[in-house]
Amino acid sequence: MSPMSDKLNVASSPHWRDGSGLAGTQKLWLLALLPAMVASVWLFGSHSLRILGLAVAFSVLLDALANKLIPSKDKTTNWSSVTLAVILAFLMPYDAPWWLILVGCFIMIVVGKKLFGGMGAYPVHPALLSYAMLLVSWPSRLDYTASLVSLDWGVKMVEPVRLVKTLGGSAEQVFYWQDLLLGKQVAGIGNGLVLYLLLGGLLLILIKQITWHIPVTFIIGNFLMATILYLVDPGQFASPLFYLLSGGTVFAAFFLATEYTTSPVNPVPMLIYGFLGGALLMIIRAFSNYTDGVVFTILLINLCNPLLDRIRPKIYGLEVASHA
Amino acid sequence: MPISPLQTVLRSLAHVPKFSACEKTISPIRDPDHVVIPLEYPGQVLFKPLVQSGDTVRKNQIIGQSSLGNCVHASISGVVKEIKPIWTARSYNVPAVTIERNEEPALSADEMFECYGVPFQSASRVEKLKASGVISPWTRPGRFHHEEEVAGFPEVKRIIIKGVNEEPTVFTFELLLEQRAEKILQGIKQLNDMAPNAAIWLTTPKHLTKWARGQFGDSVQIVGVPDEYKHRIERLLVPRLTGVDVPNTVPYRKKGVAVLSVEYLLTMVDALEGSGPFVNKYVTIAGSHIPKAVTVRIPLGTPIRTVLESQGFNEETCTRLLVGGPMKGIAQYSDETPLTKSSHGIYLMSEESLPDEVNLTCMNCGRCTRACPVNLQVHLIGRYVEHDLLEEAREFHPEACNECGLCAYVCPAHRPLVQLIQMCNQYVGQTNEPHER
Repeated sequence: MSPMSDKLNVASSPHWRDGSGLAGTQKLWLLALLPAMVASVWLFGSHSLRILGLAVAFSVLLDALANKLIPSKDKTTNWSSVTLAVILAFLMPYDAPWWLILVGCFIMIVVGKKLFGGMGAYPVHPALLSYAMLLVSWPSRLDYTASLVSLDWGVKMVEPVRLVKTLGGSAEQVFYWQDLLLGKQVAGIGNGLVLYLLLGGLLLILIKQITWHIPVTFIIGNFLMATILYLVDPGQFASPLFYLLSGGTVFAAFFLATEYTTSPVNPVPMLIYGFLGGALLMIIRAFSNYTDGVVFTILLINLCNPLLDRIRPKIYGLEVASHA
Repeated sequence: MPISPLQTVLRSLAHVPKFSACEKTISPIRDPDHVVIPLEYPGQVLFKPLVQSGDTVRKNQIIGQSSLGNCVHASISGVVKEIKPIWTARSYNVPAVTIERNEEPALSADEMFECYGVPFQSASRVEKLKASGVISPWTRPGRFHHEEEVAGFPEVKRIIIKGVNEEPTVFTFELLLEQRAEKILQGIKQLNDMAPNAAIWLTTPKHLTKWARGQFGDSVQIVGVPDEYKHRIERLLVPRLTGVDVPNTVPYRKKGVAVLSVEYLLTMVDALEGSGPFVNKYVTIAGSHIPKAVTVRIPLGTPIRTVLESQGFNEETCTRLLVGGPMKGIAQYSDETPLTKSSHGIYLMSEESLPDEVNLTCMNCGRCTRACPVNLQVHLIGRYVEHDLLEEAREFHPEACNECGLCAYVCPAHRPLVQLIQMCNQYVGQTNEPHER
């Protein structure tokens, strides 16, 4: 009857959509990681480019291959493997060999992500799962201090947290906070670039890709726990600000703990989750054998996520039994 | 009280912009070549036809009556072409009368009341309302309940008059509020007479609050409603204003609350002073490629296409055609669909304004859950329903959903979250189910 009847597009409401698409979201994350990527290339030169390039290439290829074998709704075109690859690359020491990156990407994409059902289904952060497995398999290859021993940036070329751990709290005087902030500290190719990561993280909050809950409470948790430890034993522990600026604290607060799939979705659990993460990071740094506790902290709080997310807000508009 | 200031800080709620440009004048369109008038509002009222195909009817003539004496009228003069089931804009299959226009004059109000069997002078207030097709204002809108149930409902203690539409692109109520203030004041007086013990609220757009206080402030409480959609959602506004917790599955009227619009109030005044039955409807036309929304007055039952053509809109650029607005509107498969008493707006969407990809995988970001004004765990319900685990989804109380659409609005994966919840609710069978005929 009507010429329009054949071509009208029908869908359920709402018809206005604000969402950027999955690929759009991931691209915004990459935009937020960009300052740190640029700083990393400026600091490490071609080494950083090599690691970033290899990680992205391996990840995307493995993702496409895995999707070909077992097709799922988690398409390669959603760019999630690129973001994960950059995050994994940031954790790598600057002399990481190609095979280490390949194994890392395989564990991250195939085991960590695809085997659990893809984006939205994995229980722990795939990049950190992969990094943790590399760390226990080849601890010497992932030793940041050993990897950077030949470089000299005019600062003490030892991981700050490690030096404090071995020499006691007074060792923090060796480091200037400006150096720590600008990323002149021994770490992976990206996770120690505090200022640039902070800028990217704030951008993520500003463009509403993440909310403030987890990063803010993560930092508060870390700061409080560090303050307590410092007050109890100033000889053994450095000042709270030192722990905030050294290693991957900021990276963890803004980019690792906030990963969508593995973090809580309700506001109150998010606050607890962030706080728990920050405090746990400090506890691991203080009492464990691992130097920078970021990886295991995030993996542990990831596992708490399903339990925390059971704290749910009260639903409005329900029929109450007494009314019936 | 949903959405407290603390919550707004705690949960970055979604921001749905209001369509800002609108033409202030309301222009009536000329009578269309044909109208299609439905004889049923599913779950609420069913009319028995009083005419047959071939009959000549005049505008304002009663063409159908319900068991309780509520009437439906011819909105144009003409010949009844057929009575057959059609699909309404809300996707119900109901019988409807098609009238093809001729040039007969309209019935006067007195003639109309004569048809009804009670002369206007001696008619009671309720009879006037019923004869004029203004179903007692306490029955609509709200969740489904049959007209006969209304007798058992408690006395109305609280009345909300809606001077703003929920939808960001529909302007009918606020324009009428501004332009028909005197008549609205009369309507408020009538309400006061009918329900002397009731408290009355009138919602207005924020920019009209001061003016409205001056106009109506003596007889009603004026409530300025911000432009943002999340503050306009009716199911949240009602408990916030009245302090009465009305469960989502229960009609307001069961809790002694009545919600009606200014448009409805105006038809009520017309009915009570005998200036004609409910045959005209105000509709705002907006669209993704229409710079300025226009509001028109149409005879009830006018097909969408006729309305669009009357305003010179080029249908070729339209890919999706909505009755209602972009948040709760229903996409039509045909532009022949007639507009009824519950159609307040038309929204046209061009190809470019639709998302490229829909229903991608959920990545558990939880934006839907944080956007939900009634605190549903939308991400969980959506995924359970997606995997056919309806029983499990039910444990998260999807029946509290009033389908405001904020969850799907913010979803980066463009998932059909409202539809997934609807599927769950239809399965539960507690809401959205019309009563048995």
